[in-house]
Amino acid sequence: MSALALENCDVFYGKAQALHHVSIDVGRAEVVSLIGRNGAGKSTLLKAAMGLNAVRSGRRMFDDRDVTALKPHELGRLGIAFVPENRRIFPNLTVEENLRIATVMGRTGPWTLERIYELFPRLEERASQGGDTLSGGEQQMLALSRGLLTNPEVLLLDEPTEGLAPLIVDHLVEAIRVINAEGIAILLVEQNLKVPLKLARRQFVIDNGRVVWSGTTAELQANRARIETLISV
Amino acid sequence: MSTIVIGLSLSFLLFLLAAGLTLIFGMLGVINFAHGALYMLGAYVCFQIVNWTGSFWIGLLVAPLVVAALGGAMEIAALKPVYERDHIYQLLLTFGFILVIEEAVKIVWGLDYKQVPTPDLFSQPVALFGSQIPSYRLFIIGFGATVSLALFLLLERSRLGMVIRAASSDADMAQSLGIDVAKVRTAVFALGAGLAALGGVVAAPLVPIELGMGFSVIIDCFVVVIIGGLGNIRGAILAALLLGMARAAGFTYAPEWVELITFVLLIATLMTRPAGLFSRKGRAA
Ligand SMILES: Nc1ncnc2c1ncn2[C@@H]1O[C@H](COP(=O)(O)OP(=O)(O)O)[C@@H](O)[C@H]1O
Ligand SMILES: [Mg+2]
Repeated sequence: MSALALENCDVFYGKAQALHHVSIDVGRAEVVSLIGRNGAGKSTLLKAAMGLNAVRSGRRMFDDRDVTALKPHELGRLGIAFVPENRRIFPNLTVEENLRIATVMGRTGPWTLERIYELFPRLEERASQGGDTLSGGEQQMLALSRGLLTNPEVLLLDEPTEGLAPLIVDHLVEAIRVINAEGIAILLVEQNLKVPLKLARRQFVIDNGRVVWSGTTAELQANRARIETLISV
Repeated sequence: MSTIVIGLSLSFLLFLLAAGLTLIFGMLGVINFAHGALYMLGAYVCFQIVNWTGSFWIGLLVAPLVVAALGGAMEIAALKPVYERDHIYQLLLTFGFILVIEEAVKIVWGLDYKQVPTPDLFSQPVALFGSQIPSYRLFIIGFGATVSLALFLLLERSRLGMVIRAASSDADMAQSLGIDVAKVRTAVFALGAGLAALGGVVAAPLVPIELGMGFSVIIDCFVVVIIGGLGNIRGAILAALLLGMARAAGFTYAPEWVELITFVLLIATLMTRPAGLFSRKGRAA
Protein backbone atom coordinates (compact mmCIF):
# COMPACT_ATOMS: atom_id res chain seq x y z
CA MET A 1 0.00 0.00 0.00
CA SER A 2 1.46 3.33 -0.90
CA ALA A 3 0.37 6.58 0.70
CA LEU A 4 1.52 8.71 -2.20
CA ALA A 5 2.90 7.86 -5.61
CA LEU A 6 3.74 9.47 -8.91
CA GLU A 7 3.61 7.05 -11.83
CA ASN A 8 5.43 7.84 -15.08
CA CYS A 9 4.96 11.55 -14.68
CA ASP A 10 5.98 14.18 -17.21
CA VAL A 11 6.09 17.78 -16.01
CA PHE A 12 6.77 20.85 -18.12
CA TYR A 13 7.58 24.51 -17.56
CA GLY A 14 6.23 26.04 -20.73
CA LYS A 15 7.89 24.01 -23.48
CA ALA A 16 10.79 22.82 -21.33
CA GLN A 17 10.35 19.35 -19.88
CA ALA A 18 11.49 19.28 -16.25
CA LEU A 19 10.50 15.71 -15.33
CA HIS A 20 10.66 12.68 -17.63
CA HIS A 21 8.57 9.60 -16.82
CA VAL A 22 9.25 9.93 -13.15
CA SER A 23 7.95 7.27 -10.77
CA ILE A 24 8.29 7.47 -7.02
CA ASP A 25 6.27 6.07 -4.15
CA VAL A 26 6.04 6.53 -0.40
CA GLY A 27 4.50 3.81 1.75
CA ARG A 28 2.26 4.51 4.71
CA ALA A 29 4.25 5.87 7.64
CA GLU A 30 7.45 5.39 5.65
CA VAL A 31 10.31 7.87 5.27
CA VAL A 32 11.60 8.01 1.71
CA SER A 33 14.17 10.45 0.47
CA LEU A 34 14.73 12.02 -2.89
CA ILE A 35 18.30 13.11 -3.48
CA GLY A 36 19.80 15.05 -6.33
CA ARG A 37 21.99 17.98 -7.19
CA ASN A 38 20.81 21.53 -7.63
CA GLY A 39 18.45 21.80 -10.61
CA ALA A 40 17.85 18.04 -10.82
CA GLY A 41 14.08 18.45 -10.49
CA LYS A 42 13.46 17.68 -6.80
CA SER A 43 11.32 20.71 -6.03
CA THR A 44 9.50 20.27 -9.31
CA LEU A 45 8.59 16.74 -8.26
CA LEU A 46 7.33 17.82 -4.84
CA LYS A 47 5.21 20.54 -6.42
CA ALA A 48 3.81 18.00 -8.85
CA ALA A 49 2.91 15.79 -5.88
CA MET A 50 1.14 18.75 -4.22
CA GLY A 51 -0.71 19.64 -7.43
CA LEU A 52 1.14 22.95 -7.81
CA ASN A 53 2.75 21.68 -11.02
CA ALA A 54 0.48 20.04 -13.57
CA VAL A 55 1.22 16.42 -14.41
CA ARG A 56 1.03 16.31 -18.20
CA SER A 57 1.08 12.54 -18.55
CA GLY A 58 1.23 9.87 -15.89
CA ARG A 59 -0.74 9.59 -12.67
CA ARG A 60 -0.71 10.97 -9.16
CA MET A 61 -1.96 8.42 -6.61
CA PHE A 62 -3.02 8.92 -3.01
CA ASP A 63 -3.86 5.86 -0.91
CA ASP A 64 -3.96 3.94 -4.19
CA ARG A 65 -6.63 6.27 -5.55
CA ASP A 66 -6.08 8.25 -8.76
CA VAL A 67 -5.93 11.93 -7.75
CA THR A 68 -4.26 13.29 -10.90
CA ALA A 69 -7.11 15.70 -11.59
CA LEU A 70 -7.40 17.18 -8.10
CA LYS A 71 -6.42 20.76 -7.30
CA PRO A 72 -3.82 21.65 -4.66
CA HIS A 73 -6.37 22.60 -2.00
CA GLU A 74 -8.20 19.32 -2.55
CA LEU A 75 -4.95 17.39 -2.16
CA GLY A 76 -4.22 19.38 1.00
CA ARG A 77 -7.62 18.43 2.37
CA LEU A 78 -6.97 14.78 1.53
CA GLY A 79 -3.87 14.82 3.69
CA ILE A 80 -0.82 15.94 1.72
CA ALA A 81 1.24 18.69 3.35
CA PHE A 82 3.99 20.71 1.70
CA VAL A 83 6.94 22.25 3.54
CA PRO A 84 8.62 24.12 0.70
CA GLU A 85 12.20 25.14 0.20
CA ASN A 86 12.70 28.77 1.31
CA ARG A 87 9.99 28.00 3.90
CA ARG A 88 7.51 30.45 2.44
CA ILE A 89 6.29 31.78 5.76
CA PHE A 90 3.46 34.30 5.29
CA PRO A 91 5.28 37.55 6.15
CA ASN A 92 2.09 39.50 6.81
CA LEU A 93 0.78 36.98 9.35
CA THR A 94 2.01 36.56 12.91
CA VAL A 95 3.81 33.37 13.90
CA GLU A 96 0.64 32.05 15.53
CA GLU A 97 -1.48 33.00 12.52
CA ASN A 98 1.00 31.14 10.32
CA LEU A 99 0.12 28.09 12.40
CA ARG A 100 -3.62 28.68 12.71
CA ILE A 101 -3.98 29.15 8.95
CA ALA A 102 -3.19 25.42 8.64
CA THR A 103 -6.22 24.53 10.75
CA VAL A 104 -8.73 26.59 8.75
CA MET A 105 -9.63 23.69 6.47
CA GLY A 106 -10.58 21.70 9.56
CA ARG A 107 -8.49 18.52 9.39
CA THR A 108 -8.11 17.46 13.00
CA GLY A 109 -5.85 14.84 14.53
CA PRO A 110 -3.08 14.42 17.05
CA TRP A 111 -1.30 17.66 16.12
CA THR A 112 -2.60 20.73 17.91
CA LEU A 113 -1.20 24.16 18.61
CA GLU A 114 -0.37 23.06 22.16
CA ARG A 115 1.66 20.10 20.95
CA ILE A 116 3.51 22.23 18.43
CA TYR A 117 4.47 24.65 21.18
CA GLU A 118 5.66 21.69 23.27
CA LEU A 119 7.85 20.47 20.43
CA PHE A 120 9.15 23.96 19.55
CA PRO A 121 8.87 26.26 22.59
CA ARG A 122 10.62 28.98 20.60
CA LEU A 123 7.54 29.37 18.44
CA GLU A 124 5.36 30.03 21.46
CA GLU A 125 7.77 32.70 22.67
CA ARG A 126 7.44 34.39 19.30
CA ALA A 127 3.73 33.73 18.77
CA SER A 128 2.67 37.33 18.30
CA GLN A 129 5.67 38.43 16.23
CA GLY A 130 5.45 38.90 12.49
CA GLY A 131 6.29 35.83 10.43
CA ASP A 132 9.04 37.80 8.71
CA THR A 133 10.99 38.43 11.92
CA LEU A 134 12.21 34.86 12.53
CA SER A 135 15.70 33.44 12.12
CA GLY A 136 16.31 30.77 9.50
CA GLY A 137 16.05 27.92 12.01
CA GLU A 138 12.85 29.30 13.53
CA GLN A 139 11.37 29.74 10.08
CA GLN A 140 12.05 26.11 9.30
CA MET A 141 10.41 25.03 12.56
CA LEU A 142 7.42 27.19 11.72
CA ALA A 143 7.13 25.84 8.18
CA LEU A 144 7.34 22.26 9.45
CA SER A 145 4.81 22.97 12.21
CA ARG A 146 2.42 24.62 9.75
CA GLY A 147 2.54 21.45 7.66
CA LEU A 148 2.00 19.27 10.71
CA LEU A 149 -1.04 21.20 11.86
CA THR A 150 -2.86 20.07 8.73
CA ASN A 151 -2.58 16.62 10.36
CA PRO A 152 -1.37 15.12 7.10
CA GLU A 153 -0.90 11.53 6.04
CA VAL A 154 2.09 12.50 3.92
CA LEU A 155 4.54 15.31 4.55
CA LEU A 156 6.62 16.68 1.67
CA LEU A 157 9.84 18.23 3.03
CA ASP A 158 11.95 20.25 0.60
CA GLU A 159 15.54 20.62 1.86
CA PRO A 160 14.50 21.20 5.48
CA THR A 161 18.08 21.37 6.78
CA GLU A 162 19.48 23.70 4.14
CA GLY A 163 21.46 26.59 5.60
CA LEU A 164 20.92 25.60 9.22
CA ALA A 165 23.55 25.31 11.95
CA PRO A 166 24.49 21.68 12.87
CA LEU A 167 22.85 21.89 16.29
CA ILE A 168 19.55 23.00 14.79
CA VAL A 169 19.82 20.28 12.15
CA ASP A 170 20.07 17.68 14.93
CA HIS A 171 17.02 19.14 16.64
CA LEU A 172 15.10 19.02 13.37
CA VAL A 173 16.15 15.42 12.63
CA GLU A 174 14.86 14.45 16.08
CA ALA A 175 11.58 16.26 15.41
CA ILE A 176 11.17 14.46 12.07
CA ARG A 177 11.70 11.12 13.85
CA VAL A 178 8.99 11.98 16.38
CA ILE A 179 6.62 13.02 13.62
CA ASN A 180 7.21 9.86 11.62
CA ALA A 181 6.84 7.68 14.71
CA GLU A 182 3.25 8.90 14.90
CA GLY A 183 2.51 7.40 11.53
CA ILE A 184 3.05 10.30 9.13
CA ALA A 185 4.75 9.30 5.88
CA ILE A 186 7.55 11.60 4.79
CA LEU A 187 9.05 12.37 1.41
CA LEU A 188 12.33 14.07 2.26
CA VAL A 189 14.24 16.03 -0.37
CA GLU A 190 17.94 16.72 0.17
CA GLN A 191 21.01 17.58 -1.89
CA ASN A 192 23.34 15.38 0.15
CA LEU A 193 23.25 12.01 1.87
CA LYS A 194 23.75 13.07 5.47
CA VAL A 195 20.17 13.43 6.70
CA PRO A 196 18.64 10.88 4.29
CA LEU A 197 20.98 8.18 5.65
CA LYS A 198 19.82 8.97 9.17
CA LEU A 199 16.11 9.01 8.48
CA ALA A 200 15.00 7.19 5.34
CA ARG A 201 14.32 3.53 4.67
CA ARG A 202 14.36 3.86 0.90
CA GLN A 203 16.14 6.31 -1.38
CA PHE A 204 15.54 7.76 -4.83
CA VAL A 205 18.21 9.64 -6.77
CA ILE A 206 17.13 12.13 -9.42
CA ASP A 207 19.21 13.82 -12.09
CA ASN A 208 18.22 15.89 -15.12
CA GLY A 209 14.57 15.28 -14.38
CA ARG A 210 14.91 11.47 -14.34
CA VAL A 211 15.02 8.99 -11.49
CA VAL A 212 18.48 7.48 -12.04
CA TRP A 213 18.74 5.19 -9.03
CA SER A 214 16.51 3.81 -6.30
CA GLY A 215 16.98 1.31 -3.56
CA THR A 216 17.06 0.70 0.16
CA THR A 217 19.34 2.62 2.45
CA ALA A 218 21.57 -0.46 2.84
CA GLU A 219 21.88 -0.69 -0.95
CA LEU A 220 22.78 2.97 -1.10
CA GLN A 221 25.53 2.40 1.47
CA ALA A 222 26.89 -0.42 -0.70
CA ASN A 223 26.92 1.80 -3.80
CA ARG A 224 27.86 4.97 -2.04
CA ALA A 225 30.75 6.00 -4.29
CA ARG A 226 28.61 5.78 -7.42
CA ILE A 227 25.71 7.64 -5.84
CA GLU A 228 28.01 10.41 -4.65
CA THR A 229 29.06 11.09 -8.23
CA LEU A 230 25.40 11.24 -9.33
CA ILE A 231 24.63 14.01 -6.88
CA SER A 232 27.91 15.92 -6.69
CA VAL A 233 28.22 19.28 -8.38
CA MET B 1 -14.10 74.11 10.68
CA SER B 2 -16.14 73.31 7.63
CA THR B 3 -12.90 72.72 5.74
CA ILE B 4 -11.99 70.00 8.23
CA VAL B 5 -15.43 68.42 8.03
CA ILE B 6 -15.44 68.48 4.24
CA GLY B 7 -11.86 67.18 4.21
CA LEU B 8 -12.64 64.30 6.55
CA SER B 9 -15.83 63.32 4.73
CA LEU B 10 -13.95 63.36 1.43
CA SER B 11 -11.18 61.29 3.02
CA PHE B 12 -13.55 58.56 4.15
CA LEU B 13 -15.29 58.50 0.80
CA LEU B 14 -11.92 58.09 -0.90
CA PHE B 15 -10.96 55.40 1.57
CA LEU B 16 -14.05 53.29 0.90
CA LEU B 17 -13.09 53.24 -2.76
CA ALA B 18 -9.36 52.92 -2.30
CA ALA B 19 -9.78 50.08 0.21
CA GLY B 20 -11.67 48.00 -2.35
CA LEU B 21 -9.18 48.80 -5.07
CA THR B 22 -6.16 47.97 -2.96
CA LEU B 23 -7.73 44.74 -1.61
CA ILE B 24 -8.45 43.57 -5.13
CA PHE B 25 -4.94 44.47 -6.21
CA GLY B 26 -3.44 42.64 -3.23
CA MET B 27 -5.38 39.48 -3.99
CA LEU B 28 -5.60 39.42 -7.78
CA GLY B 29 -2.53 41.44 -8.68
CA VAL B 30 -4.74 43.48 -10.98
CA ILE B 31 -5.73 47.12 -10.96
CA ASN B 32 -9.49 47.08 -11.32
CA PHE B 33 -10.17 49.84 -13.82
CA ALA B 34 -13.90 49.22 -13.45
CA HIS B 35 -13.85 50.40 -9.84
CA GLY B 36 -15.24 53.82 -10.76
CA ALA B 37 -17.98 52.17 -12.79
CA LEU B 38 -18.96 50.05 -9.78
CA TYR B 39 -19.06 53.21 -7.68
CA MET B 40 -21.38 54.81 -10.25
CA LEU B 41 -23.51 51.67 -10.38
CA GLY B 42 -23.84 51.76 -6.59
CA ALA B 43 -25.24 55.29 -6.82
CA TYR B 44 -27.72 54.30 -9.58
CA VAL B 45 -28.91 51.21 -7.74
CA CYS B 46 -29.37 53.34 -4.63
CA PHE B 47 -31.36 55.86 -6.68
CA GLN B 48 -33.61 53.05 -7.91
CA ILE B 49 -34.16 51.66 -4.44
CA VAL B 50 -34.93 55.11 -3.04
CA ASN B 51 -37.40 55.53 -5.91
CA TRP B 52 -39.14 52.28 -5.05
CA THR B 53 -39.04 52.39 -1.28
CA GLY B 54 -38.56 56.06 -0.45
CA SER B 55 -35.84 55.09 2.02
CA PHE B 56 -32.21 56.06 1.64
CA TRP B 57 -31.31 53.64 4.42
CA ILE B 58 -32.64 50.64 2.54
CA GLY B 59 -30.57 51.84 -0.42
CA LEU B 60 -27.49 52.12 1.78
CA LEU B 61 -27.94 48.54 2.90
CA VAL B 62 -29.09 46.85 -0.30
CA ALA B 63 -27.25 48.62 -3.14
CA PRO B 64 -23.75 47.53 -1.99
CA LEU B 65 -24.99 43.95 -1.60
CA VAL B 66 -26.44 43.98 -5.12
CA VAL B 67 -23.22 45.34 -6.61
CA ALA B 68 -21.11 42.93 -4.53
CA ALA B 69 -23.11 40.01 -5.90
CA LEU B 70 -22.66 41.36 -9.40
CA GLY B 71 -18.92 41.78 -8.76
CA GLY B 72 -18.68 38.17 -7.62
CA ALA B 73 -20.50 37.03 -10.75
CA MET B 74 -18.20 39.12 -12.96
CA GLU B 75 -15.15 37.59 -11.33
CA ILE B 76 -16.42 34.04 -11.80
CA ALA B 77 -17.67 34.48 -15.34
CA ALA B 78 -15.00 36.70 -16.84
CA LEU B 79 -11.84 37.07 -14.74
CA LYS B 80 -11.47 33.47 -13.58
CA PRO B 81 -10.88 32.09 -17.08
CA VAL B 82 -7.96 34.48 -17.71
CA TYR B 83 -5.95 34.22 -14.47
CA GLU B 84 -3.56 31.78 -16.11
CA ARG B 85 -2.80 34.32 -18.81
CA ASP B 86 -0.68 37.43 -18.64
CA HIS B 87 -1.92 40.26 -16.38
CA ILE B 88 -2.61 42.42 -19.39
CA TYR B 89 -5.66 40.28 -20.23
CA GLN B 90 -7.14 40.87 -16.80
CA LEU B 91 -6.50 44.60 -17.08
CA LEU B 92 -8.18 44.70 -20.48
CA LEU B 93 -11.09 42.77 -19.08
CA THR B 94 -11.65 45.28 -16.29
CA PHE B 95 -11.68 47.95 -19.01
CA GLY B 96 -14.33 45.89 -20.74
CA PHE B 97 -16.38 45.86 -17.54
CA ILE B 98 -16.54 49.68 -17.69
CA LEU B 99 -18.06 49.60 -21.17
CA VAL B 100 -20.57 46.93 -20.25
CA ILE B 101 -21.64 48.68 -17.04
CA GLU B 102 -21.95 52.05 -18.76
CA GLU B 103 -24.05 50.62 -21.59
CA ALA B 104 -26.26 48.78 -19.14
CA VAL B 105 -26.77 51.95 -17.09
CA LYS B 106 -27.68 53.87 -20.25
CA ILE B 107 -30.25 51.25 -21.19
CA VAL B 108 -31.83 51.06 -17.75
CA TRP B 109 -31.67 54.67 -16.56
CA GLY B 110 -31.03 56.72 -19.69
CA LEU B 111 -28.76 59.73 -19.91
CA ASP B 112 -30.59 62.17 -17.61
CA TYR B 113 -29.01 63.23 -14.34
CA LYS B 114 -30.57 61.50 -11.36
CA GLN B 115 -30.75 62.70 -7.79
CA VAL B 116 -31.03 61.10 -4.41
CA PRO B 117 -32.32 63.51 -1.75
CA THR B 118 -30.37 63.87 1.47
CA PRO B 119 -32.03 61.63 4.07
CA ASP B 120 -34.39 63.62 6.34
CA LEU B 121 -32.41 62.78 9.43
CA PHE B 122 -29.40 64.68 8.09
CA SER B 123 -31.01 67.37 5.95
CA GLN B 124 -30.53 70.24 8.41
CA PRO B 125 -27.17 71.89 9.03
CA VAL B 126 -25.87 71.90 12.57
CA ALA B 127 -23.88 74.58 14.35
CA LEU B 128 -20.43 73.43 15.33
CA PHE B 129 -17.69 75.68 16.76
CA GLY B 130 -19.50 78.69 15.40
CA SER B 131 -19.98 77.48 11.81
CA GLN B 132 -22.93 75.90 10.06
CA ILE B 133 -21.98 72.35 9.06
CA PRO B 134 -24.08 70.17 6.73
CA SER B 135 -25.01 67.30 9.03
CA TYR B 136 -24.89 64.76 6.19
CA ARG B 137 -21.14 65.42 6.03
CA LEU B 138 -20.90 64.52 9.71
CA PHE B 139 -22.83 61.33 8.97
CA ILE B 140 -20.31 60.42 6.28
CA ILE B 141 -17.46 60.89 8.73
CA GLY B 142 -19.09 58.74 11.42
CA PHE B 143 -20.23 56.08 8.98
CA GLY B 144 -16.91 56.06 7.13
CA ALA B 145 -14.99 55.70 10.38
CA THR B 146 -17.24 52.82 11.43
CA VAL B 147 -16.88 50.99 8.13
CA SER B 148 -13.11 51.54 8.16
CA LEU B 149 -12.86 50.12 11.65
CA ALA B 150 -15.03 47.14 10.71
CA LEU B 151 -12.90 46.52 7.65
CA PHE B 152 -9.75 46.72 9.71
CA LEU B 153 -11.12 44.24 12.24
CA LEU B 154 -12.27 41.94 9.46
CA LEU B 155 -8.83 41.88 7.88
CA GLU B 156 -6.64 41.86 10.97
CA ARG B 157 -8.71 39.95 13.52
CA SER B 158 -11.06 37.56 11.75
CA ARG B 159 -10.38 34.16 10.30
CA LEU B 160 -11.54 35.29 6.86
CA GLY B 161 -9.15 38.22 7.09
CA MET B 162 -6.29 35.89 7.95
CA VAL B 163 -7.15 33.72 4.95
CA ILE B 164 -7.31 36.77 2.67
CA ARG B 165 -3.93 38.02 3.88
CA ALA B 166 -2.32 34.60 3.47
CA ALA B 167 -3.81 34.00 0.02
CA SER B 168 -2.79 37.51 -1.08
CA SER B 169 0.82 37.02 -0.10
CA ASP B 170 1.34 33.44 -1.36
CA ALA B 171 -1.59 31.83 -3.17
CA ASP B 172 0.13 28.50 -3.87
CA MET B 173 1.19 28.07 -0.26
CA ALA B 174 -2.34 28.90 0.92
CA GLN B 175 -3.77 26.35 -1.51
CA SER B 176 -1.53 23.60 -0.27
CA LEU B 177 -2.96 24.27 3.20
CA GLY B 178 -6.39 23.33 1.87
CA ILE B 179 -7.62 26.86 1.18
CA ASP B 180 -9.70 27.25 -1.95
CA VAL B 181 -8.00 30.38 -3.23
CA ALA B 182 -10.36 30.63 -6.20
CA LYS B 183 -13.22 31.21 -3.76
CA VAL B 184 -11.17 33.72 -1.79
CA ARG B 185 -10.54 35.66 -5.01
CA THR B 186 -14.24 35.78 -5.77
CA ALA B 187 -15.02 36.91 -2.23
CA VAL B 188 -12.38 39.66 -2.33
CA PHE B 189 -13.59 40.94 -5.69
CA ALA B 190 -17.16 40.98 -4.37
CA LEU B 191 -16.05 42.77 -1.21
CA GLY B 192 -14.14 45.38 -3.23
CA ALA B 193 -17.10 45.90 -5.56
CA GLY B 194 -19.41 46.27 -2.55
CA LEU B 195 -17.11 48.89 -1.01
CA ALA B 196 -17.02 50.83 -4.29
CA ALA B 197 -20.82 50.75 -4.40
CA LEU B 198 -20.99 51.83 -0.77
CA GLY B 199 -18.90 54.85 -1.74
CA GLY B 200 -21.34 55.57 -4.57
CA VAL B 201 -24.33 55.34 -2.24
CA VAL B 202 -22.76 57.63 0.35
CA ALA B 203 -21.88 60.14 -2.37
CA ALA B 204 -25.31 59.92 -4.03
CA PRO B 205 -27.01 62.72 -2.02
CA LEU B 206 -24.02 65.02 -2.61
CA VAL B 207 -23.50 64.84 -6.35
CA PRO B 208 -25.58 64.51 -9.50
CA ILE B 209 -25.79 60.86 -10.48
CA GLU B 210 -24.56 60.48 -14.05
CA LEU B 211 -22.43 58.24 -16.23
CA GLY B 212 -19.21 60.20 -15.73
CA MET B 213 -19.38 60.38 -11.95
CA GLY B 214 -17.04 57.44 -11.46
CA PHE B 215 -14.36 58.88 -13.63
CA SER B 216 -13.53 61.99 -11.62
CA VAL B 217 -13.44 60.09 -8.35
CA ILE B 218 -11.45 57.14 -9.58
CA ILE B 219 -8.44 59.23 -10.49
CA ASP B 220 -8.16 60.49 -6.91
CA CYS B 221 -8.72 56.97 -5.76
CA PHE B 222 -5.80 55.64 -7.83
CA VAL B 223 -3.66 58.40 -6.38
CA VAL B 224 -4.64 57.32 -2.85
CA VAL B 225 -3.78 53.71 -3.61
CA ILE B 226 -0.42 54.62 -5.07
CA ILE B 227 0.49 57.02 -2.26
CA GLY B 228 -0.61 54.44 0.31
CA GLY B 229 1.29 51.65 -1.41
CA LEU B 230 -0.37 49.11 -3.71
CA GLY B 231 -2.15 46.46 -1.69
CA ASN B 232 -1.50 48.25 1.61
CA ILE B 233 -4.76 48.95 3.42
CA ARG B 234 -3.29 50.90 6.35
CA GLY B 235 -1.40 53.02 3.87
CA ALA B 236 -4.64 53.64 2.00
CA ILE B 237 -6.39 55.13 5.00
CA LEU B 238 -3.50 57.48 5.78
CA ALA B 239 -3.20 58.46 2.12
CA ALA B 240 -6.95 59.07 1.91
CA LEU B 241 -6.75 61.38 4.92
CA LEU B 242 -3.77 63.18 3.43
CA LEU B 243 -5.37 63.67 0.04
CA GLY B 244 -8.86 64.44 1.36
CA MET B 245 -7.61 67.10 3.75
CA ALA B 246 -5.22 68.57 1.17
CA ARG B 247 -8.03 68.85 -1.36
CA ALA B 248 -10.46 70.40 1.10
CA ALA B 249 -7.84 72.92 2.19
CA GLY B 250 -7.13 73.61 -1.46
CA PHE B 251 -10.81 74.25 -2.23
CA THR B 252 -10.97 76.76 0.61
CA TYR B 253 -7.73 78.62 0.14
CA ALA B 254 -6.56 78.07 -3.44
CA PRO B 255 -9.31 76.54 -5.58
CA GLU B 256 -7.39 76.87 -8.85
CA TRP B 257 -4.53 74.78 -7.45
CA VAL B 258 -6.54 71.78 -6.25
CA GLU B 259 -5.84 69.42 -9.14
CA LEU B 260 -2.20 70.36 -8.98
CA ILE B 261 -2.00 69.51 -5.25
CA THR B 262 -3.16 65.98 -6.00
CA PHE B 263 -0.49 65.39 -8.55
CA VAL B 264 2.26 67.09 -6.60
CA LEU B 265 1.52 64.65 -3.76
CA LEU B 266 1.57 61.77 -6.21
CA ILE B 267 4.81 62.76 -7.89
CA ALA B 268 6.53 63.57 -4.58
CA THR B 269 5.60 60.09 -3.33
CA LEU B 270 6.78 58.32 -6.43
CA MET B 271 10.08 60.17 -6.37
CA THR B 272 10.85 59.63 -2.70
CA ARG B 273 9.14 56.35 -1.78
CA PRO B 274 7.93 54.54 -4.90
CA ALA B 275 6.53 51.60 -2.88
CA GLY B 276 4.16 54.04 -1.17
CA LEU B 277 4.55 56.68 1.48
CA PHE B 278 3.53 54.26 4.22
CA SER B 279 5.09 51.05 2.93
CA ARG B 280 6.78 48.81 5.42
CA LYS B 281 10.33 47.83 4.67
CA GLY B 282 10.57 44.94 2.22
CA ARG B 283 6.89 44.86 1.47
CA ALA B 284 6.04 46.86 -1.58
CA ALA B 285 2.69 45.21 -2.12
N1 LIG C 1 9.09 28.08 -12.34
C1 LIG C 1 9.97 27.57 -13.22
N2 LIG C 1 9.93 27.94 -14.51
C2 LIG C 1 10.80 27.43 -15.40
N3 LIG C 1 11.75 26.55 -15.11
C3 LIG C 1 11.85 26.14 -13.84
C4 LIG C 1 10.97 26.62 -12.82
N4 LIG C 1 11.30 26.05 -11.65
C5 LIG C 1 12.34 25.22 -11.92
N5 LIG C 1 12.68 25.27 -13.23
C6 LIG C 1 13.74 24.49 -13.88
O1 LIG C 1 13.44 23.13 -13.71
C7 LIG C 1 14.62 22.40 -13.38
C8 LIG C 1 14.44 21.70 -12.05
O2 LIG C 1 14.34 22.69 -11.04
P1 LIG C 1 14.04 22.31 -9.52
O3 LIG C 1 12.95 21.32 -9.48
O4 LIG C 1 13.84 23.56 -8.78
O5 LIG C 1 15.41 21.63 -9.10
P2 LIG C 1 15.92 21.20 -7.64
O6 LIG C 1 14.83 21.44 -6.65
O7 LIG C 1 16.30 19.77 -7.78
O8 LIG C 1 17.13 22.05 -7.38
C9 LIG C 1 15.75 23.41 -13.39
O9 LIG C 1 16.37 23.33 -14.64
C10 LIG C 1 15.09 24.72 -13.21
O10 LIG C 1 15.80 25.74 -13.85
MG1 LIG D 1 14.82 22.71 -5.06
